[in-house]
Amino acid sequence: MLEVRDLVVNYGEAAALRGVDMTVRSGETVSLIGANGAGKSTLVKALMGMQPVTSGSVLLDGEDISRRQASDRPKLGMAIVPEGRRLFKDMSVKDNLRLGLHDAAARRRGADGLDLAYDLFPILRKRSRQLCGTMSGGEQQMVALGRALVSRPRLLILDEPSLGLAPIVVAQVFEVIEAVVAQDVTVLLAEQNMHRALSLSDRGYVLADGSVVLEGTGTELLQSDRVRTAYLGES
Amino acid sequence: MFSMIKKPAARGIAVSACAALLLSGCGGVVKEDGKKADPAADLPDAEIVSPIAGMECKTDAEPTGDPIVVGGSLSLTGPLAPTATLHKAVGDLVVEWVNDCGGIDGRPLEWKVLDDQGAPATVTSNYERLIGDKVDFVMGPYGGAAALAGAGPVTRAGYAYPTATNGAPDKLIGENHFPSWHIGGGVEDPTKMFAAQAQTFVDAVKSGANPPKSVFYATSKFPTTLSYTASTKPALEDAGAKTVGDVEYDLGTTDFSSIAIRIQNADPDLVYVGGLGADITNLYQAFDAIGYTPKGIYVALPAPAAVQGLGDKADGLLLSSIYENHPPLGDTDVAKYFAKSYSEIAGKEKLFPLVETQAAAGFSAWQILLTGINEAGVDNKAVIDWLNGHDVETLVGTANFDGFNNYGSDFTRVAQIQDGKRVLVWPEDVAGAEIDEKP
Amino acid sequence: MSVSSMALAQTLLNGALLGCLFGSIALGLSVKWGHLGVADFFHLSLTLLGAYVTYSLVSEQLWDPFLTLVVTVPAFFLIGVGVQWIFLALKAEAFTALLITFALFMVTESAVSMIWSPDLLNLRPMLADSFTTSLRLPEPLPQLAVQPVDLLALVCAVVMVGVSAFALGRTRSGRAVQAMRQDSEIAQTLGVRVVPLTLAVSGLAASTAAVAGMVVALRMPLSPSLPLQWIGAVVVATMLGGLGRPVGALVAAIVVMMIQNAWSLWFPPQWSPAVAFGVLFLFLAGGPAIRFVRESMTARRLA
Ligand SMILES: Nc1ncnc2c1ncn2[C@@H]1O[C@H](COP(=O)(O)OP(=O)(O)OP(=O)(O)O)[C@@H](O)[C@H]1O
Ligand SMILES: [Mg+2]
Repeated sequence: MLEVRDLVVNYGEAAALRGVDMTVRSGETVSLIGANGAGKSTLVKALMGMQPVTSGSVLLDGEDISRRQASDRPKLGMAIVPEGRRLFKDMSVKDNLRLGLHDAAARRRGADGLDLAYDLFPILRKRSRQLCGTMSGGEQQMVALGRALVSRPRLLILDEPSLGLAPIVVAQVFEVIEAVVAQDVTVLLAEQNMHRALSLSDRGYVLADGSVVLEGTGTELLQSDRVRTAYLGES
Repeated sequence: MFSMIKKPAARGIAVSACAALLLSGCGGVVKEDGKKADPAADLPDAEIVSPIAGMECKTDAEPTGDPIVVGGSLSLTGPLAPTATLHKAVGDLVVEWVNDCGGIDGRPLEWKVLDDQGAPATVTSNYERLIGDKVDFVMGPYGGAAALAGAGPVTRAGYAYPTATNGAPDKLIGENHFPSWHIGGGVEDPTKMFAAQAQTFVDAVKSGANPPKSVFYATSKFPTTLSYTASTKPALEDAGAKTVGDVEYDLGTTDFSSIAIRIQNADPDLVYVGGLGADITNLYQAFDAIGYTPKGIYVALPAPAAVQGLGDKADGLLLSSIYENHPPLGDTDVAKYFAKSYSEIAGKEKLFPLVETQAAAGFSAWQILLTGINEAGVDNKAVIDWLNGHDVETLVGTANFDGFNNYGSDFTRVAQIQDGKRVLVWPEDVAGAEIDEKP
Repeated sequence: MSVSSMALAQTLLNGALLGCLFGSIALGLSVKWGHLGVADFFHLSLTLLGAYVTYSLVSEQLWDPFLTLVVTVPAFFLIGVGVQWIFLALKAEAFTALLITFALFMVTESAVSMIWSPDLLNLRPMLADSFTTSLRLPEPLPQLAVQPVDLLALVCAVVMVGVSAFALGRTRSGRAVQAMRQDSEIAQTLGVRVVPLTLAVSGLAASTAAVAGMVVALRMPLSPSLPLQWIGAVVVATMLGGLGRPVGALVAAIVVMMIQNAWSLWFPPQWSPAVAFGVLFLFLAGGPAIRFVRESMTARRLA
């Protein structure tokens, strides 16, 4: 479904991605793991059209989308849960979720409307009028997930959804991700929390300093000493 | 995008709805006979004559040789532009007039104007530049502060300095100063420069059948208007008119509603507005809003167009003036030709088409300069000496330069709008009608 | 000086109605400032331009003032789009944009005085008496007077502010505008097309200047420097009302003008513009306190 070929992204002079190749097949769940600064978010942003690519290509169902605008993503069936959640803080929960259905194509797919999010996270229904800026980190993450899911994307990209959350909330978030994975949504999950990520993934890529240094199935990577010591700084 | 595009449509519908509502509620918004009458429509035709006494008008002689160049600085842009544009028009008119009359001693007259945007510093540098360019004479700028700013370089270079405006008549300029708008004639004490005009005003209101017994003062915080009020208030009080209110407001105020309500509350016999420009229009607007009609009202320095714009409501309004276009002052051949040609050029420049204070003062300043040149030749020192020793006949009266700051007798007069026309009502020797005071 | 309660009521009423006019002007400024991040002083010039165009069409072509909107509203929409397009094309930072709008502000003043005359233009003498004569309020308040043009200002303000507030808060595009201001990148990944949306908002804000300009032409004599007189009240209202909040801007303009007018009834009128800034200052200084109260109240409500 998604094929990344020799993708290079530079921030000015500095290279953040140095020729990344990656494949995500339809229905698969793929993890992207790597230490801080490895380039995970840069890759995610490039896929979403939020970051101009220097060279290389991103093929979605064979079509190169690397130069298409970010605002075309809903039409292509892509949605993101961005790093740091990035909710519209001065707007209510309901309005944030509605923005997930801003695009006409998103509305067509997400025929259930906001109920999808409310059923996943019942608390959001109660809090639908609360301003997102006043919510706890866990609640915000639910809104961010809801905002991406209401459009029933074909490809869901998550960038460190567990970042800065208490363990119990992390567990909750991963439960939802697992539920999503169980449906036939294709998921790309960028995470530092490699255990959780890899254990629910079909395959994974390990990124270091802007390059893919390892790839394999979730179990393979989990068992690889190289991954632990060299690239995740674990001992 | 759908709803964004819907928005102007919704707005359009709503606005038309409110329009329809109002239109049905109170008839049309615009008068049937929309266009306003041209106040200059019935000016008589006039023959060209020499603009000054002692010079012949030779219409068949083309002026030749080096031009006599007069340099000047005017605020052609910026806040003073409305009136400065008028002075520019007067200058253009005079130059054309003189050259149509064969020039001065056969030489053409030329005038070179620089824009100072109303900034005194620019006025100073403009005159320095003109003098550096060796213009033969200079004409003063528009505005009191500008006149003072120009005085420095002009006086130092030994040029005669004719001026038409006197925002600060107490500031000394010198023996080379030849004002056409005489304020404070005969006054030697600079702090009492405005006393003569105050006395004229008091005499004017006393000459009528119903002099005011109570006065409300509203004064713009502008040096000249503050001076007007400061000298008029005690004079009126001495004449028995009680002060029932006194407020000052910022220059350029447009919302007069609270002041109007204060006036309504005090309901004085006379509202003394030390205002200028459009203040009077805005004040009347505020009166309209509360449905109040003042018993009597005086405005110090209103823009002629503002008074004209009030239409019928202006009837009975008093204002300070040095000239209005009617006999006796307006009855001379020079005055008639000036009135006619001014209305033409003013029409082109979209200015008020009748000659009144500003245009008359501007023209008189040119008359003073031209008379000096005609009598004494193209030499500033000779012109200065001659003017200091002689009277000059101008449009606004006989000017002499004997008093403090070279002011002669006071030219400040009182005019009134009567039947839609501006007429001088005081002093008697120049009046075209008697003052009309409602009981 | 003793002032009757009727005089006070009349003053407050006048202030509120003038506030409606300033609120209509502040609306566009507030929307552009709050949602597009451009403190667009040119908006005031556009209002002036709207007034002058209305003046010309009414006085020379003898159009009905409301009919002029058919021309001015679309024309101003295009101007608004054009100006914003320049900002986008130049990739102007907020400060550059501010400088450009300020330059346009100055240029318009000169251009208006060149095209129309630096002198005063007044549409009022040409208006029907029924439109310039004040109406008396009905029985319970028999002594209060209102001008028809002020009622027009009220209607225009309420309609424009109401429609804008509704569009911003309740429509999909309005929410997109809010989202775009808060996080344009994420808004884009949700399908928000920033360029057309920005241009449209700018165009619509400019169209409100056409309507406000028509009211100005009917309400007061025109001179090229009018925007300088409005700027204080309009900017204060914009900031007091909360940037980007149409209703806030209108309410703030009404309150500020009522306070200014009431002040002038008792105190020297020349200080009244300073009063508006005083109110703004108190509000900014009192802001933290107000926020604290509001937050504790929200907390209680949610608990
Ligand atoms: N806007 C930017 N300008 C310049 N450099 C940037 C920018 N964003 C990221 N970088 C650099 O690019 C590299 C990759 O950053 P990126 O955010 O993609 O890492 P990451 O893998 O997501 O890290 P983390 O786990 O901390 O989120 C880093 O060296 C970072 O400093
Ligand atoms: Mg990251």
